Amino acid sequence: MTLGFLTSGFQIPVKKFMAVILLFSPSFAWFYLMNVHVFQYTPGVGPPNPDWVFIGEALYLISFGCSAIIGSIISERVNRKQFLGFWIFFGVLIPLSFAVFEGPMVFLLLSALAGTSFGIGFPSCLAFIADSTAIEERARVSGAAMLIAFVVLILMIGITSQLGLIEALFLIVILRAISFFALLIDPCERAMGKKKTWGAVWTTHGFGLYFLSWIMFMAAGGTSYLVESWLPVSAISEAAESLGLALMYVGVAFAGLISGFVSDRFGRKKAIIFGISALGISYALYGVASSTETYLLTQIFLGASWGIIFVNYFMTVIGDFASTGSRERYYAVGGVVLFLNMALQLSSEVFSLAVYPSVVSSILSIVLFVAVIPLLYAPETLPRDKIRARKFKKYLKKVKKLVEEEETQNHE
Amino acid sequence: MSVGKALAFHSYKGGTGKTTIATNLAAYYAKLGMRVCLLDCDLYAPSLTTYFRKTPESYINNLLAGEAEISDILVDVSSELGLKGKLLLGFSSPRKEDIHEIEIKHDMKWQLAALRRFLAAKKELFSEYKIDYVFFDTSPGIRYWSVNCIAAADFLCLTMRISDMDIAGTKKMVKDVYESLTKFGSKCFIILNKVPGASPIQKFQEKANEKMLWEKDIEKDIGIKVTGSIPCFCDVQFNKHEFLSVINQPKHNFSKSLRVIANKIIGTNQRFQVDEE
Repeated sequence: MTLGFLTSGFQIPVKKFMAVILLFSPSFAWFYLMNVHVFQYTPGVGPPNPDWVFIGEALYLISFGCSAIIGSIISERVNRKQFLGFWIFFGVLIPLSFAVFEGPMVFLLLSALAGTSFGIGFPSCLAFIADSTAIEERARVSGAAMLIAFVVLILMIGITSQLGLIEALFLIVILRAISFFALLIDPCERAMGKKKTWGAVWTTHGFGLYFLSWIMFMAAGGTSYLVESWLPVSAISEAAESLGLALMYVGVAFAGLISGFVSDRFGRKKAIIFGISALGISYALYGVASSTETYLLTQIFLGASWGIIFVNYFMTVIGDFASTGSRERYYAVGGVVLFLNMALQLSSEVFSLAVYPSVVSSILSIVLFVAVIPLLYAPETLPRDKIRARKFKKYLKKVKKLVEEEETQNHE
Repeated sequence: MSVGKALAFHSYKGGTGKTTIATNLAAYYAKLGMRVCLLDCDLYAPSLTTYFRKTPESYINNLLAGEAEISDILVDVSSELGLKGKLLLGFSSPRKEDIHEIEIKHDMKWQLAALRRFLAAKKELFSEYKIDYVFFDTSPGIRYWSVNCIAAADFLCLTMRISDMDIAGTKKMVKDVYESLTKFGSKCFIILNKVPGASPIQKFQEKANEKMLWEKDIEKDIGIKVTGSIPCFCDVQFNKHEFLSVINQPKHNFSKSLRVIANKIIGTNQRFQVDEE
């Protein structure tokens, strides 16, 4: 299959690739869009009420995490295509519900249902990507899906920010409904395999080391929310804040894609170490000079870091470890760590620490340095023979070219 | 400039008899009056120093590293073997540290630079030494130096045994390696070696038409012409030191089979009087 240089060397058939994109990208963009619109606008409670917003957001994120685990258990027992269909349908209903129903308690209920509507099928969605891709192309396909998700997200934020709430929610419904096309063009079958117990998932060789690194990354990422002085709002204009958010999303999109190529070419560990380093750089930059310019640069590195880690750790490494028949369990376990980041993010709404940026950046940089250590001992999940095969192919081309050049010179 | 040709002897697995065939063919052609150069390109498991019982001052390894010229590494054994033509040998170093170095240390960039030197040396063999045939006795399987020799050669001679593993492996190599390295005019052919059926017991001997069926089947399966087949002879295969049987034991059936193949390879090159025995 070829779609230009992006897909050179892919084994995944075009239809399957399109199904992956159509299933993942609109849904993932939906998750972020819901967070932006629902918790900025609080239908039925008049002007935005910070307490309700906080509780609603907390329910959204907590229900996402819990439903991911429940969904991974349910999905193993049902037909995957039907389950994904239900997942998409659930996601289509929720924004409509926000538009129709009003009241604070209803809002809280719908917030929880919104998180559930995404979490319950997300492990299955990721498992579908893992089943659809060969190990040596998984990161690139995941990176492409992430790029498209965030490009769509940026465009949708731009469009929906100009619209009223109802119009915005309607567009979000359409976005989520696009994922139905994935089910039309692909059977979305589950690859058969022996089921692993939850305990066996945790004890998979090497999985724990990546998991430990992932926890530390999440802790470092989440801690930054707690630090009040991390974002001196007075120093950063609203325009710069918006631009910073856009730059962060751009960072996620393109770093995710590029790191996918790096990961499939040179191995997952290198890509993940780059991702952790990028976060360290962003903190170091902000610790050095807290200005608008460094803030914007920080946001790019922050976005790049998240893009790299999400594509390579969450979408790829977990897929590499996950044996067929138990993929959803691995994604549910890996996703639990997202809780840590979410919990810290939510905590920043209630608590905050006033600490000098330079102190924070030093501490967080140390945490990130320590996060790299488990990776040094973790096994590389991209098989060495795939790396060797690629190198060999490249060598063959160079040899042929060299010999042909010499032959041409000799004939002259 | 001489219109010499380079022949690479390669196989999927070791033990197919590449070195035995390459050395015997080289000696046979030199006996006919040709100017032949045999290079031990199996840098990972060199054997010609043992075969010819020579310890040269410089090796192919030195040439590839840019430390020696082709003239430094060549050893002329024509007179001692009583050959009408010329037989020049180039050896690979059997020293452990040299094998380790070539195996482990050198990256792609070094390998390509070494290949460039190798090609220059090949050119000099044809232009200065007027060599008719250069033989590369390569490593089995897919390794840097087997790939380099295949790419540098005009003819590719694949030796294989009639076994499922050899057939499957050779087929894969055709697809993965040979097809991508085929250049303008290069030719591949197969020599089937150690073919069962050369039994002294009459009833176990394979008939000629049965042998032809094998050859046709393999040609069809792999997609490369079979130039000939050599029966399996225990006294050759398990000889502690088989040495140039084709000139030392010309009446042996092994030598006869090899001569038939040698004549086919030469084709209609009328400059040399082929031995029809």
